[in-house]
Amino acid sequence: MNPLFATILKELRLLRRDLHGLALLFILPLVFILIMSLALQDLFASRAGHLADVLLIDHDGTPKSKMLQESLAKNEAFGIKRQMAPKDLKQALKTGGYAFAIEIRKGYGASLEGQPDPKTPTLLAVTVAPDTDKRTEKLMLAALGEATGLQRTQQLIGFLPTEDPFGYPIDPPKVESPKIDLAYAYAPAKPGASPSAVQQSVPAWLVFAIFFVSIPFSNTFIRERQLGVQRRLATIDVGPLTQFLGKLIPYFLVNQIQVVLMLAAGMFLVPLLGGQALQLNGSPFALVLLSAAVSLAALGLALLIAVTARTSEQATMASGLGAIVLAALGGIMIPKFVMPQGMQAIADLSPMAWGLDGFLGLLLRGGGVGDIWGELVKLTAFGAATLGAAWLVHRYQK
Amino acid sequence: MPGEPKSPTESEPAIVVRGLSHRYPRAAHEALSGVDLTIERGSCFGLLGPNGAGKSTLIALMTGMIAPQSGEILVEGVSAAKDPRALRRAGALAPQDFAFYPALSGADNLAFFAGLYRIPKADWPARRAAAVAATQLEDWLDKPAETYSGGLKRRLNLAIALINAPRILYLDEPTVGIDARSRQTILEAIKALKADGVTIVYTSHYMEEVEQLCDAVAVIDHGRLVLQGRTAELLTEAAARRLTVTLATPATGKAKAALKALSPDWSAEGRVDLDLAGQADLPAVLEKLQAAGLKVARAEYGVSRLETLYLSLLDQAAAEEAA
Repeated sequence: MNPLFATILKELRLLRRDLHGLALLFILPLVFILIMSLALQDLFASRAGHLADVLLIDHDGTPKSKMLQESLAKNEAFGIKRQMAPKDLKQALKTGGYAFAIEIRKGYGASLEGQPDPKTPTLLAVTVAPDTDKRTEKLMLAALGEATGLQRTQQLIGFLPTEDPFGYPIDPPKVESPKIDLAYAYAPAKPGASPSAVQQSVPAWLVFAIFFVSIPFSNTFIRERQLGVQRRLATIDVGPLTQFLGKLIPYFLVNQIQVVLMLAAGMFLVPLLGGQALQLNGSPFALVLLSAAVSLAALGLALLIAVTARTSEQATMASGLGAIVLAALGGIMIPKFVMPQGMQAIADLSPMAWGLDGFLGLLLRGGGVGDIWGELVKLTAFGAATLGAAWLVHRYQK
Repeated sequence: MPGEPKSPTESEPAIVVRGLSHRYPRAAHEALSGVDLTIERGSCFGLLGPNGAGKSTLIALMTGMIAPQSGEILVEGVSAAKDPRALRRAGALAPQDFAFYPALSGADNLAFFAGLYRIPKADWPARRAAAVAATQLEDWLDKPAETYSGGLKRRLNLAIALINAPRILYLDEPTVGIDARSRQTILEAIKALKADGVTIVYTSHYMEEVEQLCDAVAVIDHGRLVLQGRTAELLTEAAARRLTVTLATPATGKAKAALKALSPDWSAEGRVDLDLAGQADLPAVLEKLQAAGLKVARAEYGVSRLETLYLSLLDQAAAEEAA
């Protein structure tokens, strides 16, 4: 039998004997995908629906105040709920889950008619719920400003003459917000569909899962050293290349099975649990190349940890913590787009970020090999560099 | 099975070691210092020494595990430095550790190592059968190795080394910590291999095993070779220089003082070991015993054990170092 084939077969047999450990490599990321896809569903859905709910209390009750209500209701960022004046406004905010309460005070309509009440200088009041973030607050105030501005402009237009000097009627100018074409920079399967939580979560946790194999991979090396098998192997005419490849190939296969299963879970399992289905956009060939490149980078890192660590504890700590740190930095746990600029620059140093950007480029933006070329090169170079470093360390140790 | 591809030069030694020294990185002392050894083809060679003496380093060098720094190792006439692959192909090591995969069955372990040894498919059934028969593992092959007793694990360790049909077999404490039955199986397998012409390099702390199996021995201490020779000759020579007397009555202080010139060893109760220059000294020494008033229950001359020789060598080396 060929030494390489014998080593691959042995490694597969060892994996088969440790079904619990193997199952963890699939179950752990699958659980993350399900939890994150379902938990973040509303957050991503809000891109198409409401950002926040708003309690609107109209003390004025004039046509002008009703116009303001209608104008605000047209803004899709906010869900407007009208209510009579509650006894306790703060309690109403809390129990209703509102982000804001807008009060249109008495005299609002009269003020627009040019009859302001000097006793009521402020005619609009906004109460902000304690858990409403600053960014949403600013958006609310901007929306309110736009609605009142539009109303005032229409009021001013009402003062313009309706006939020209010769008695001919003049069409009053129409005041409307300009229409804006909205398009997402991704390739949805259905027109008008928006990126969903599953579309973001599956690539993220898939990349994490691929890198997570470094824990069992590095431990197989340490175990061989502890058992004395490495000592015996050193007396057999088999080079490190055969030994390394014999371990790398089975784990590469494990990574590819992870890719298939995680994508299938996003497509078929998440919808069964009430989430949106993952849409496979982009070039299948590019997807194969990318999953191979991510696996190469992950296994290179795993091999480097394996040859450097002295004990199982060291290998587990280095692999586990390494995966978590790279995931946190690389936008797996916290999306890169919510990070400050400086952190985003640091995130771009993580190979997990390269993998994630590549998958998002394919699954969200429907790209091909040309679109993820940079990520492919970076991942392959990282994999080659870490494999080379591992070989040098192994040689030095020998 | 074993020893089948013979070297063209049957008469040359299996292993020749000349001026071999080795120092590990950042180590204060040399692990081996100027070692010279000759191991005859088809012999069983006992490599003795206390823990940390340098035996493992010597085996690591002879098996190609580590490259020689200075000195020369010739295995079947081939230089280890020039052709380490040939050296690895000639031998097989059964290390002291259970160097196999506990999660795999005995059969899977054998198949894996057979693959590494590149055993041709046609030869594999016969090789496997021979290795399994020699170690009597037939009934255990399909069970995971982690379920084996200590003795069965040692036997599997040996079986793995045998599947390559090595011409030189390195056995590093192959019987440590096992039951009598497994020990007997392993010792019989080794005798059979020796009878088939396999050269065996054997390390053990069980001196009676070495005495029983090994044609020649070498003792290493602190990285230096302190003794080398044919077992029978070394024992005969040692026996000629030692008289062991079992006393019928305890020796008095006066009697002990009378024998001081003979460098007696009183460490064993009711017994004294006396050093002799040779057989010619025997009558005079017996007369001195009588003159000291000692009643002799039994006297042994011309009989020596390897353990006694080994311990006296180590004592001597320690005394020289202290001096």
